[in-house]
Amino acid sequence: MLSIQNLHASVGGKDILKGISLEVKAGEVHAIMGPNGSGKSTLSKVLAGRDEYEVTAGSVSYLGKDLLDLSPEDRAREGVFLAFQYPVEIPGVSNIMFLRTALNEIRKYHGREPVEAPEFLKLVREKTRILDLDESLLKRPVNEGFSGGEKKRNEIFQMAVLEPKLAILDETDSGLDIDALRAVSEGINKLKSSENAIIMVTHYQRLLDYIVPDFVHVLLNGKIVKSGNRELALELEEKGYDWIREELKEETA
Amino acid sequence: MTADFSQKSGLVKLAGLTGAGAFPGISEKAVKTLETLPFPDRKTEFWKYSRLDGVKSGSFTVAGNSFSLTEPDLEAVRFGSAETDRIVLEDGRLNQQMTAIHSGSPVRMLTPDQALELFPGLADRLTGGTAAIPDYFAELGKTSFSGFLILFLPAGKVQKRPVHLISYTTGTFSQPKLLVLSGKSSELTLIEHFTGKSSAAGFTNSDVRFLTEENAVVHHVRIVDEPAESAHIGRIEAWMQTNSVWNSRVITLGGKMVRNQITARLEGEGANCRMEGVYLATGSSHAENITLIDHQKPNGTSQETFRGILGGEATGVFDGKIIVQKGAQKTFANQSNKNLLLSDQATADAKPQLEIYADDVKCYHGATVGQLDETQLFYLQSRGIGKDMARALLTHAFALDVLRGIPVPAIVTWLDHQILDRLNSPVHFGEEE
Repeated sequence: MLSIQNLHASVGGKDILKGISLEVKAGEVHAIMGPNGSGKSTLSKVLAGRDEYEVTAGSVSYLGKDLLDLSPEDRAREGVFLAFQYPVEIPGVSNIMFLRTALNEIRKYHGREPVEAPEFLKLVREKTRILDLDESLLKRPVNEGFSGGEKKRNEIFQMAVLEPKLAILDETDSGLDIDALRAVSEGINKLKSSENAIIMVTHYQRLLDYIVPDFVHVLLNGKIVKSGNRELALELEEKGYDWIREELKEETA
Repeated sequence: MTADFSQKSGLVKLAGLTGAGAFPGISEKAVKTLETLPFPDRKTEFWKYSRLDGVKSGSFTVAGNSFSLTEPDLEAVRFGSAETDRIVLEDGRLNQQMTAIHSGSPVRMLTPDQALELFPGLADRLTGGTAAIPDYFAELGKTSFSGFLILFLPAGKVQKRPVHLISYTTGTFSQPKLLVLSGKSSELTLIEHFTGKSSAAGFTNSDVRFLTEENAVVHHVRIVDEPAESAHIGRIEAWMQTNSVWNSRVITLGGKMVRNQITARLEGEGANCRMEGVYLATGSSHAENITLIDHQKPNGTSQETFRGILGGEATGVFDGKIIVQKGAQKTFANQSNKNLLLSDQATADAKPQLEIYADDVKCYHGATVGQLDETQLFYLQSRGIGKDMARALLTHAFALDVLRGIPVPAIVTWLDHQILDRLNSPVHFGEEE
């Protein structure tokens, strides 16, 4: 589904990603872990198309298309979804209007008719139930005045409505208490299928207790330096990242 | 007949003409004052930002006695299915034929004599200046060549249908004047709508006064949508008595040079004022709001919000003053002005001013000038919303913040669509389902 080859990216002339390669197939869950400043969030934003990052080398192929060649909106229409680390507040635009506009834009791209209001309302009500989300959030302006937990849950709610093929969850677990974490994880698990793929970018292995990854990758200084399975995440939780840095030194020595 | 602002003698002669709805004694004094006043220029602080060149050099026709409007002319200014009582002024003169007030509506039109009998202090109020320095266009407006339309809502009455006052210009020089007298505990919704059709440059110099008696409520909406080449200078002043409510929204959509001077005087205790506006200017047009909220008595509140949306090479100005006088303790006043620049060439000037002479008050003000937020745009795009639509959606939200306070939903929708159309938005957006 997604093939990242030797991806380099910089912001303001500073290199952040220094040659990332990653293969993701439908049905897989990948976790990308790493300390602060390792480039995790940059990778998510580059994949979603934030233009403040400049791709200086490498390629990203998504469902046979050159992902980097698509505008952010076209990436979304093709099924890429980024759950933001810091969801953005949009005062004056209700959640429901925002989502309906988004869904209809995606449908239009695929040559489909817009969804009518009653049908749409039915759809979002069903999704709020799945995610155990308070329906009153629908009428409130997007993320405005939401608690940290509500914002993260709202991201997953949008994901549920838009049904992406590739979901990139950027630190969706940070800043959540255990109940919110459980609710968000359950929501994500319900959306998982053999048709879609998930990339979870996270600091903590706690999330991985709820959403079990097929692969775990360690990102250090803009590169994936180690890949493994779930056990690797547990090891990182226990020992931190220094032992990997040591390993790398030995290899290069 | 023509009005020529470069030829003062001709203008003064024109001003001396009497018309229906004139208050005795006012015009003579104004004509004398006008003779002593120079045409304002940008060296004067009060006119620093205005672009009066088009008025100064222009020669405008003045409408005669005939009327030309027909029903199709007014089709574009209907608010969906909303039922209104309609009053039509054509080039500042009442067009009886196009005016239709429902027989059950409590609102009445008065002659100046009737108005003076009911409100004896009125003559003094109308003679008095609104600015410390005599205002050229205010004095010009006091001259009687077109008189006041006087609306009166008796005490305790509720005017359920909005009154839709259409002030239509055919590209002339006109001075529409309106006086709204709200009796005790009455409630009125008034939509003033300045519009017209003309390829030539017209000039509208308008005056509107509100007198809200004790506990009266007025919902006021003004839409300034003059033809593209026209100029509009409008003075609005509300004299608010004890516990009265005056909610005003001034929406500027069109005109080459639009200047709204809006004043609320909270003369009675516990008066409650909401003064809001949206000004949209594109191309090379200029939109300006000069506001004054004068808290004179205790326990008054004022909530002022103006939003500017400026594209092309347009300029927008907000000059908002709040005065809290010595005796006006426990006043709450909040002022906010935000400007959205949609192009690199558009400019916005914001000048908030507070003058507080009481010691137990709460007053706030803030002004911002900025572009659409890149992070918000990206967020919308990341959900599949195209860049143009994302821009339109954010602009719509920016304006709607003020518009949604208007108590007639059909007008909110109409205005929202007008703003997006003028910004070439690809779509319209609904309100919450």
